[in-house]
Amino acid sequence: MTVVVVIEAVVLLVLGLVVAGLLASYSGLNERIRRVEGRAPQQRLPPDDFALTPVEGHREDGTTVLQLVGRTPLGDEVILPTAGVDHDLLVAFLSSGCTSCGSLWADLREGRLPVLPAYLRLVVVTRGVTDESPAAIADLAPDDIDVLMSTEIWEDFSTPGSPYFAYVEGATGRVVGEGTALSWTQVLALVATSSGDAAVVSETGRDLAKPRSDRDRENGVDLLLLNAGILPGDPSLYPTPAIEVALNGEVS
Amino acid sequence: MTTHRALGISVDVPRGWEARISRMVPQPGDHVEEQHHPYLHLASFPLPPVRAHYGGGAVERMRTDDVFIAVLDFGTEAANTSLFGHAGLPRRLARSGFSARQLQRMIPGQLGSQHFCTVAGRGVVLYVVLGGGTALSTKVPMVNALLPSISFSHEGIKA
Repeated sequence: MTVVVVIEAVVLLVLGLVVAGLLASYSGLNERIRRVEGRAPQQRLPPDDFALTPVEGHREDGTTVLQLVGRTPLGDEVILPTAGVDHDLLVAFLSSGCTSCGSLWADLREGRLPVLPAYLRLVVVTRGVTDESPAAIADLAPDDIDVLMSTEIWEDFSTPGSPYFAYVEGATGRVVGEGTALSWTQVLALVATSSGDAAVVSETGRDLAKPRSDRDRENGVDLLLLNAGILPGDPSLYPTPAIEVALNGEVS
Repeated sequence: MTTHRALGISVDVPRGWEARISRMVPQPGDHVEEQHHPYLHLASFPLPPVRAHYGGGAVERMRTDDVFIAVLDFGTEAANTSLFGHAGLPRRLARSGFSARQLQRMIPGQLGSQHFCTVAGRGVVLYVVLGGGTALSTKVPMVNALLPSISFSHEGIKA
C-alpha cells in the first residue's frame, strides 16, 4: 500500500512539473510573439503596479503639457489644447496589441464608458503611424471619441506602457494624476483622486451597450443630415403624422 | 501661438484653441471624379470628432464668447469664378460684417461672416461663427490677428 502511495505521489509531482514547464514555455512563447509583432510594451509594468496607481509627486519637475498634436486614424491633423482651457483632460494611452487594452477599447466601442463629469474631456492616444496601423485603430475606436496617434505624446508624458492614464489640469496643463487601470471604473477612481471630485465614482454609469453596426449607421446618418444643414430638433425630422393631418383636416 | 501645418494648409493657432485640418470624406452619391479637398476648422472650444464642413455638430456647443472658423478649399475649378472672384483671403473682418443672416444654420444669438475668394489658384471659403455678441469684442480681434497666418501650398492640397 505504501509503495502505491509513494508511486502516485511521484507521478503527481512529475505531472506538476510538466504542467509548470508547459505554462512557463507558453508564457515565454507568447511574449516572444508579441515582441516579434512589435506590440509589446517597451517597458513592462511590474505586476504590483498593474492596478490603479495614481502617482502623486512622480513628476518632480511638475510636467506641464500645453497641447496634444497628433493625427486621427482617419487622417485629420489635430492640435488639441491642454492648458488655458476651462476643462480638464483625461488622456488614455491605449494600443492595439496590448491584451489589457482589449476590454477598454470594447467598452468605448460599445458605449459602455461610464459617465464622465462635464468638466472632463477624454482623449485616447495611441502610438504614431509608424508604430500602429491607422486602419487597426480606426477599427477599434468609436467615431465619437477623440483618438490621436502620436508617439511624441507618449514620450511627452513618459508613458511606461499601456493601458495608462494621465489627468491634466486644464487651467495649467499640469499633469496632476496618472496611473494604470484595467477598467473604466478604475479610471474613474483616478479621476476622483486627481480632481478631488468624489462624486465621480458614485456615478452608476450608463448602460448604453449598442451593436457597433447600429452606432456606425447612426453616425453616418447624423453626418449626412449635418452636412445638409439639418440639426437635432429640426422640425423636418418630426413630420406631422398622417392621422393628425387627417383629423385636423376634418376639424378645419 | 503654434503653427499648425498639414494637407497644404498652414495657420497659427492661438493658445487654448483647437485646430483640425481634414480632408473631405467621400459621401454616398459622390460623382466618380468628385474631388475631396482639405479644410481647416479652428475653434476656441472643444471640437467634436464628427462635424459637418460648416461646423454642424460643433456650433451647437458654442458659448456666447466662442468662435468657430472654417476654411474650405473648393479646388482649382472654383478659382476665379464670379463667386470666388475676390483675390486672397480677407485680412481683417469688420465687426459690422457679422450678422445672423450670414449663418449656414440659424442658431439664436449666433452671428456669422462668410467670404468667397481665390487663394493660390483655388476657390476658398472663409466662414466664421461667433457664439454671441460678446465675441464681437473678445474674439474678432483674435480672428483678425490670425487671418494673415493662413496660407496654402499648392502642392499640398492636391485632391
